[in-house]
Amino acid sequence: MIVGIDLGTTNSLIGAMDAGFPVLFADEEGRRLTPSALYWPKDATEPVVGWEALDHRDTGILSIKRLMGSRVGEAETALPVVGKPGEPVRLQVGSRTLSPEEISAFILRRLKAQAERALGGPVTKAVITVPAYFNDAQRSATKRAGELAGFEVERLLAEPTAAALAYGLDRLGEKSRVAVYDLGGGTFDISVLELSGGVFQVLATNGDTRLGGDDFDRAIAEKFGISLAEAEARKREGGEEIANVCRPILEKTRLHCLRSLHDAKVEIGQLDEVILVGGSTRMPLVREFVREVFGKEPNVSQHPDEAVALGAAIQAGILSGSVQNVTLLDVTPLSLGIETFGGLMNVLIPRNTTIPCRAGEMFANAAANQTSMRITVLQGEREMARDNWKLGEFVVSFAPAPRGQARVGVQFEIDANGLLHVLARDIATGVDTKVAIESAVEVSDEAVEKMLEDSLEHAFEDMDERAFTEATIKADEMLPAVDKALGALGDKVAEGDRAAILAAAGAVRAAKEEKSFPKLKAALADLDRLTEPLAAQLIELAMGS
Amino acid sequence: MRRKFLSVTDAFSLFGIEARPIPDEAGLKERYLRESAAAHPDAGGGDAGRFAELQEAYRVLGDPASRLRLLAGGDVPAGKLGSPEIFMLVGGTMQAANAALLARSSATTALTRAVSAAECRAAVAKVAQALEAIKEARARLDARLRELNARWPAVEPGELAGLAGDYAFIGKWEAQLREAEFKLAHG
Repeated sequence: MIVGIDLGTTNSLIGAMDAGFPVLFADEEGRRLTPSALYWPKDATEPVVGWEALDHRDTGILSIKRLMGSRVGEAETALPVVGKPGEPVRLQVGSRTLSPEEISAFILRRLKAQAERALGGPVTKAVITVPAYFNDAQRSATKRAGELAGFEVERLLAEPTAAALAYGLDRLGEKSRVAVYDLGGGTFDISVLELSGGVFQVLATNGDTRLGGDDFDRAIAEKFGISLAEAEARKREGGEEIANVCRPILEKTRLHCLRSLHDAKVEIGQLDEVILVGGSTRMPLVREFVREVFGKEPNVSQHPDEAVALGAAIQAGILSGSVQNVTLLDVTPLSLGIETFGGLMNVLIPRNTTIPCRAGEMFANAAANQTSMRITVLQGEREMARDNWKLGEFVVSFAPAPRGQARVGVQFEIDANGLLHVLARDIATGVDTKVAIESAVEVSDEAVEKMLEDSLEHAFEDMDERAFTEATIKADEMLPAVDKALGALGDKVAEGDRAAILAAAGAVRAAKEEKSFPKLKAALADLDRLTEPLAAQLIELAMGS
Repeated sequence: MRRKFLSVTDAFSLFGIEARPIPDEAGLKERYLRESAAAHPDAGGGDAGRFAELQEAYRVLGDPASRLRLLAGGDVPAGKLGSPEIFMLVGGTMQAANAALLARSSATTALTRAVSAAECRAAVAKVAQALEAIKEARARLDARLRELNARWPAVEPGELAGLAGDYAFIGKWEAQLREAEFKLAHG
């Protein structure tokens, strides 16, 4: 027996296949949802987990999922994080410090007990869902949490894919294209899938692992000066005021939706269904937004809180053999690459490649008798290595040889869980070695302290200099724009206005030359004011043509 | 390493279809899904190595440039610079698009925003025009491909390699233009 678990930001659920159908297990009170909350009473040896922990939300730990696999400084949080920037996150829980995976393990243990009570026997194997857009560290941390809770983690499954399974299980004969819009408490995913003859093929996925209902709550709480719990209640009431606060946050999901369709090479009109899952999709505002983006009525046939857990149970059934003729072809959400000369990222496995997948790269010694080379592994879509997320580093060892003669082939494999494995093969000996990746702890303690000291010391002299630099940048931005605007508008600008603008532009040039900050500032303000009508005219001109 | 582990017979025979310039597309997709399902690690007796190979083979066969290169064999030199006129057109268009995108992302005043908006709109028109040219060029390549397919197997490796090169350039340019089109439209 393998169980399926949805380890959510706000709530978690557990289930399994029963006589061909996925079912979810309830606790003693008949509740299928377990809040992903933990509270450690003073002097207790065990924490309080779930519903009871919600009574202590001020001192308890909520939404721990947002910190899974993150380093200090990476994610904004109100939780009591301890540690230095760049170190793996740990939290102060009463007198203890715990990692996010340890805290998640307590929640998983609670679910495990719930399943064991329902099944009347031990449960040791599990499928655990993760946001599709989770990176390698976030996935690894989730797997570790499962192991700490006493599970063999048979598979990490992407949440929107799980929801698609729940949707498609009784439509195996059909052929269709669907999008799954999954907005939960803390994460957002969008996946585009093709369903055909029992094969669920993910064409593309996109998302934000730190965007969800929590952000609505925080924004509402800030706007009205109320507590998070009160904000949550206000959110449920809805209304125009709430919509105005939430809409800009929701708007962030639009680009992810369009990007996933673009990557999948699917036109909006070719989608048969847009399936909503995740607790936040209960909000009428979210439904309205999805309708607007996709130009069609969203499919709300799936239970927003339960679909992912049901899908996890189905995947558990696939792995144990009780569900047959169903296959998932999932993808890796982020491009995988290595840092190359010049600080660029060289992509080895592009995003949306079907997993499991492999890619190889050959490394040769750059100098005679070079013994090793350090390789930085990255995940992300940016061109510059430093703009991507640093997965870790590994070292390739060379046998002594003339330059370019010692060669090692490195195989990168992303398994069905979306986890990276690296294998190095010495070309001369043909010996394979599994390569351990050191998770990247960015900078040493001393380096961080030095950076802080430096920045404090130079803060004052920096300020003047920075203000002047910023003004210069603005001048360099404005001057060519003024020329372009005057050229484009031609005689639509009155002679007097044109002369005034040119004079102001001349003053900006002179102040820049003179390196006088007060003069530059004043001249720029003049130019800004005088050219304001041009901006409006330009837009009018473009609209009219 | 990744791109070299397949030979002609491997990629086509992996799916049990005939090796030729235009393979049976519907048959290929159906077999791809069936074989992938069988080799997936979730299936009893699945094989991650074979699965990865199937994915790579499907990618190769689905892309005319890599498919024709595979049919041409390894020793044929790569094609020339595709069509010089389209190269110039795409180069100029991408330059305009990137400049407009850069201007938009760094604009901080009303005037510079308005100027960059006008530039973006002009770039959108240019990109659409270049994509139209790409579409026409692709139609010409497709006609050549159909002609080779009709003559198959009486086709010289050089012809295959030449067409493969042309497809590779067109494919790369189209991808760049589509990306620019997306960014211009959606920021």
